[in-house]
Amino acid sequence: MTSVMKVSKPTYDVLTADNSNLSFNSELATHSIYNIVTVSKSSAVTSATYTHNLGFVPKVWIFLDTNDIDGYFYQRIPTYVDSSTNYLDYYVNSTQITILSNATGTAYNFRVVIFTRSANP
Amino acid sequence: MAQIVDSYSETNATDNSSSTIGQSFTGDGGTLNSAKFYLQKDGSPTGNLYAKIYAHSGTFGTSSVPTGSALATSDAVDASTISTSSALVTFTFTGANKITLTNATKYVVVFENSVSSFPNYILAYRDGVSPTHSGNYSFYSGSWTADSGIDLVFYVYKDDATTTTSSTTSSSTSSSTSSISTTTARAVIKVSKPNKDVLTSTSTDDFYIDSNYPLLKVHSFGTFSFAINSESVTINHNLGYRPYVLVFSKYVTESGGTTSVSNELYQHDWFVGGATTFWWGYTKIYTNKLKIVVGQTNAASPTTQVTGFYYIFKDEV
Repeated sequence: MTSVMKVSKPTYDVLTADNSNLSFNSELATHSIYNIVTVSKSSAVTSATYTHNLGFVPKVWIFLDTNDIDGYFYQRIPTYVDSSTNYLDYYVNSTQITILSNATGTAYNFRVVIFTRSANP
Repeated sequence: MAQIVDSYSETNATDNSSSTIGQSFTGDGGTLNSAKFYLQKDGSPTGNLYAKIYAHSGTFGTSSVPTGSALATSDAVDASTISTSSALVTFTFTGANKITLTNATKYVVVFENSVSSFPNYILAYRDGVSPTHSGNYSFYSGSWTADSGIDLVFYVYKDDATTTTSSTTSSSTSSSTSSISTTTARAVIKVSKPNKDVLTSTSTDDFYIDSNYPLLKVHSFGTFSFAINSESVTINHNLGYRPYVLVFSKYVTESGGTTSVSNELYQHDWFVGGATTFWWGYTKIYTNKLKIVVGQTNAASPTTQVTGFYYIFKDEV
């Protein structure tokens, strides 16, 4: 027998509620955070790599860490930086996360969020 | 034997300080065991030295400073025992000071140096030339000041985890024979996937739940609508840090001079390249607001409305 843990929304029976009426269902994908790291790409190169060595392809979110006149902000990639031709993208395998830029000339810092679960369902 | 939570090696040391100083770092779910600093004695200082853990304030890596009262204080280290040659010195945390360093939560480890005065000093080494640690340095002089151009040499250690087994149920769950593992230092909750042993599995992907790793928690959510020619909408959150967000908006294209908005919603950031016009939807996450942008390269932006929704999470990136 498989063990599950469910928490229902108020007024809903946890044993019969549809998934949309559950606050939590352990069988459904959850975004637990494994680690958050800062990765930097120098202006001389077009990629930066972080080694996670999890042995599976994790879900990740990657944010460009930059600033403008309104202050410091994060912007999730893939993206064009400030609507310019500088395009940022990434790919993930079972050991590494690689962040790509389509051009040299600009240094970037990134916040890389690595989740505990595989990108494969 | 303790394991490293975070560190910045003494091989990076370039200079030193005789002040009370700190370095921000990230917790990993472990139980605090000890801290080390790279210290040296000049003259004959007397008195006690301490390591302390504080909650974090500011932007991590840029303006981190300690805030509030110390979360944990180490056992005292006698300043007279410090060597006149630089060496790593251990500060041990015991009893109620063995706090949990919550995974992904930012903290500041402080070297409290109240014994230094001319000509007797305890010096703590730091990197003031090429700092590369993800956190940043701070120093105390009546109040805390951050310096992102320096990193302190430090180590923070956690206990090795050991496990026993117990079980529990809750009136708001449908859990049956869930297996729950506990450590000798603190309790954790784990739920493994089918055919995975909750006690022996080592891959994080083998678990539906592992309380060592925090879940994202929703702070607020809502919808938005704005005309494309205004290019953006601002949503204030005032959390004081940059949180996780999810933003979805309608997808905009143009053909033969006619602007159209999709029925579907697309997650930011998205980008569309046409023959002559580029369209984009992206979100900038600030410490007090979101700026949701939908725009185009064509200066003659239409007044077409674009709609969408957002989630702002309580967790800091």
